Amino acid sequence: MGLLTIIRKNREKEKEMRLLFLGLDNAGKTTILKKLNGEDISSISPTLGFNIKTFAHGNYTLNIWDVGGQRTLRPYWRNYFEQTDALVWVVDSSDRARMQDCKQELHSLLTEDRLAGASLLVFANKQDLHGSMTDAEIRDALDLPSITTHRWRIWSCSAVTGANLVSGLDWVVNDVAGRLYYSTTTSPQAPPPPHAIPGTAN
Amino acid sequence: MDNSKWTFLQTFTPQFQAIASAKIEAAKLAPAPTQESFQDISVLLSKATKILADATGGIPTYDQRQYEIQLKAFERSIESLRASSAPKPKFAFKRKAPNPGAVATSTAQVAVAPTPTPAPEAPSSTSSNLVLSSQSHKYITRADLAAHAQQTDLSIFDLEHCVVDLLPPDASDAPDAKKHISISALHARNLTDCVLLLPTVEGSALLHDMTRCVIVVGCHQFRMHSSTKIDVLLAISSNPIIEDCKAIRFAQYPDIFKTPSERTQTLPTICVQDFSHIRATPSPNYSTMTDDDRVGLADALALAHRSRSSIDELSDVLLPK
Ligand SMILES: Nc1nc2c(ncn2[C@@H]2O[C@H](COP(=O)(O)OP(=O)(O)OP(=O)(O)O)[C@@H](O)[C@H]2O)c(=O)[nH]1
Ligand SMILES: [Mg+2]
Repeated sequence: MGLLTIIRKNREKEKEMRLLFLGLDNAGKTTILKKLNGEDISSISPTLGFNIKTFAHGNYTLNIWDVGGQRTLRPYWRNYFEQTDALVWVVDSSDRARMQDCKQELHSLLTEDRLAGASLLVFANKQDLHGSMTDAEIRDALDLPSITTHRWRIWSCSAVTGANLVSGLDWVVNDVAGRLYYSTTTSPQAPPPPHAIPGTAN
Repeated sequence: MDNSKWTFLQTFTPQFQAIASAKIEAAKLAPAPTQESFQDISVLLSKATKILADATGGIPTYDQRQYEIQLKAFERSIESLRASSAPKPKFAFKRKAPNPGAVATSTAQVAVAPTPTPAPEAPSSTSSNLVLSSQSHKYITRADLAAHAQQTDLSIFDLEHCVVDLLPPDASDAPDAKKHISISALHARNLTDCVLLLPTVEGSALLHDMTRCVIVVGCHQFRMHSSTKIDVLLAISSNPIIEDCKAIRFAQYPDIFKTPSERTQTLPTICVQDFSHIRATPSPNYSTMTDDDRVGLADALALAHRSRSSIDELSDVLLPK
């Protein structure tokens, strides 16, 4: 049996989504995924290359790609764009000094053709730390309101406490599902507005 | 178990390996490996990885792990090949010109790198962002810090010829909460000829642009960039990483500076990863300190800590210019 046959078969059988987790180094991408998956988060090393996690979320199987954000690895991010249904951009809310860098990297991703249709969830992570920037501050620092090419939401969360991780994932999965698996006429819920209203998670 | 997946996976690895290594060989032989040949291999790798991800739960965990290791090895060889054939400017990369038809909010081409990221902002009004900056020839202790929350971020930048000693005067009386400072993350940038004596940082230690320094710290993660001639004495259970660094030496955090409870913990051997040397050969950019050097350094630091030696008295612990 050939490669393509297998791929096709799997696509038919189950409802799948491919989520790409990106963000600067130290943002907490790997910690979020391990926490969501119920794994130990006490001795995670910086990611050299990538990790893949596959898990069920509601009726969907999520294939999640977590690619390292260290500067040397960023040129390789593009190798993972293919067939991405949603981009999850993770931000270290306590890292004020690098917000500019963070904004530039995000906005340059959004010009990539191969990410054109993807929904965007911004996780404002590390909210458990005192002195972290709020989601509203990060929304402005990253200039999210200027985004017109992608439907987006910003979500405060903490990978350490687990707060808001699941609800953030819910938003993005529903948003993708609305696009991929329901046509607009048969949609059980009204599809969200063209680009979601900047909102807070809590 | 899903039989089709199982059957497929049995033939998957040999097939994939044959194709991938043929392509890698071809790319190596080509006078200048083209962007397309990398693209090709990357697509293949993505497909294979995807199939493997799909099979999760359908094949034994051990096999799954073996396949993942093999795929990672391929990814590494592609990356090193790409790195070795890439035009030199280290981190700069150009984007393909966007397709005319593409949706684009901005056409700005972002050149990431040689320009350093902006220095941390001026001290903010929140006392949970502690900043220590622009000093020279000082011995700085906790008493010199601005008022701060008990749990705080610590940013240290633009120091030269300084000792920053935030250890309690006597490690054995550490559990006193009032004297305890809990650092959620350490950001250090642009330090030259400095010694940092720090307790355990709960989050990451992020360091940039350091020259001829000694860093004594415990932390959850250690990430150092663009630095040269640094001795790092580290208490850590994850892998410390370096990027764009040279002449770095690593050793364990000295027992003498540990709190009694830290002394009882055993830490794994330090396993450094050099993000600027992603290939099979050992990195030339760091080494493990010899036991003699480590003990000599720890003794000199312990003495400095007790007697508040100035950096000039400590100059022989810094690596020479
Ligand atoms: N306090 C706090 N620390 C966090 C949180 N999430 C992650 N961290 C810490 O931040 C550091 C970086 O986490 P990682 O998950 O390795 O970050 P990453 O985004 O995967 O980094 P790369 O792999 O280099 O791209 C670790 O020390 C984590 O423990 C959080 O919500 N709160
Ligand atoms: Mg990671």
